[in-house]
Amino acid sequence: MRQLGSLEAEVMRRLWDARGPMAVRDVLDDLQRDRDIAYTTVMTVLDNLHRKDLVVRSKRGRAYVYSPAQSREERTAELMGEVLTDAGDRGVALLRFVEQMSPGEVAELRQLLGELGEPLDDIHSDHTGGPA
Amino acid sequence: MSALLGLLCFAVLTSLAARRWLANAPWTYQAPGIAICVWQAVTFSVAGTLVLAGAALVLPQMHLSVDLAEMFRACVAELRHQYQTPAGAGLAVAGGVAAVALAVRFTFILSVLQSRAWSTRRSMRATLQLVGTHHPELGYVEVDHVVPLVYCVPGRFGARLSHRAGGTRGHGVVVTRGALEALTPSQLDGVLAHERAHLRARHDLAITAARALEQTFLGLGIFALAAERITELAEMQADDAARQGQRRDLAAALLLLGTAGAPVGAMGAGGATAVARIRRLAEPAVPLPGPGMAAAAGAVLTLVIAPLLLALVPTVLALFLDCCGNGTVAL
Repeated sequence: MRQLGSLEAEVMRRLWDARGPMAVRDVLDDLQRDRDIAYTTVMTVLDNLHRKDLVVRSKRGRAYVYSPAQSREERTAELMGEVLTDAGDRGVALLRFVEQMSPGEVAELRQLLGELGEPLDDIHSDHTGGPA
Repeated sequence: MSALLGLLCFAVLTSLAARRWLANAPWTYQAPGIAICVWQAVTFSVAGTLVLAGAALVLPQMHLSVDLAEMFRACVAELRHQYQTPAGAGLAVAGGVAAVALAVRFTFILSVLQSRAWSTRRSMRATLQLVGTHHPELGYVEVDHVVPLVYCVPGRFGARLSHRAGGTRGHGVVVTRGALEALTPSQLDGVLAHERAHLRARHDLAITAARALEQTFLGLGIFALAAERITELAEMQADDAARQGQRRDLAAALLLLGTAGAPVGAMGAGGATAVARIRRLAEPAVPLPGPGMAAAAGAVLTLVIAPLLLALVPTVLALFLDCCGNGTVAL
């Protein structure tokens, strides 16, 4: 996906927060509560978002109404999927704080930390083990 | 010929020495940053040596062209002797081609890896701009997702873009809601310090370079080993960004986040690294003493200079002992 302008991101967020599809006028009214902005600017931004396949539009009367192509949750899940499958130790695009440990490794650690008397075993047991 | 043999011996010995004294040396955990430098010196030294070895085969041919000049006739004869190669011209061409091919291959792989990383990061930043909640004052971007996950998106480019988008520094660090719920404030502090240390040190560049070398010299185990070690040591160096009193918090955070998520795909070496990091954090930090630092610096210097000396000494010897001495000294 291409980098978005901050206004595009702002409009996207408004569309996600809205209950249903929004016309340019709706988005404009929403934005104008916070800032001074022209109708044509909003129209251009929505047009850009449509070209980038981030929003879908349909006719309502004579005007277009816009709604997000993907829900915020879908987009987030997609991002998390990318992060998790960035091939962990092979990928170089990003650095994850920690990779997932196997149950065997966790058991080994618990034993070690128990011997050292480290107060790490007060970690909730429901966080341990396999897939959530 | 002596230059070629010397260089190849040096490459083999350096690889063996790194396996023997660097790969599992306890001191590397004491000073991960320095250990990364030594690993980089090892890999670039071995890689450079192999390229020079190819170039060394060409040298006699290059000097043959000087043969036209009368004054260098004796010199050339000696050089030909010094660099005598079994199969002559054919081998020289092969050596030259190999040297150039290696250099080109490395440059190509490095740029592919880097541009792929850039495009992934660009797309992720765009998504983060949409679905993330930016907390400039806290120095991270929050993502509303249950899987506890913390990561950073490196690059100067991103810092600038997020700045333009109204944010400030620290936008490279991403924390999910799941992670915020799982971690105590002190644990989160340690984790954020770790991620910022990655971004500051540009560990992504060190790892990318190591991976590029690994792929350039496929089949030479020393490069794969170096890439794996550098990746692990980078994590440890970032762990050291946590304050002394935070080490146990950071260990707890590692255990929490390293076991809480859903493992995706094959389990890599990452789990073993996490175990090593927690073991390390469970004990107080012991800095490397002065002599150890000096030894590491000496090793880096030697690794950089030795291949150049090995490549040049036969030529220099030939020039000084034989040409300048009117060819009377034959060594």
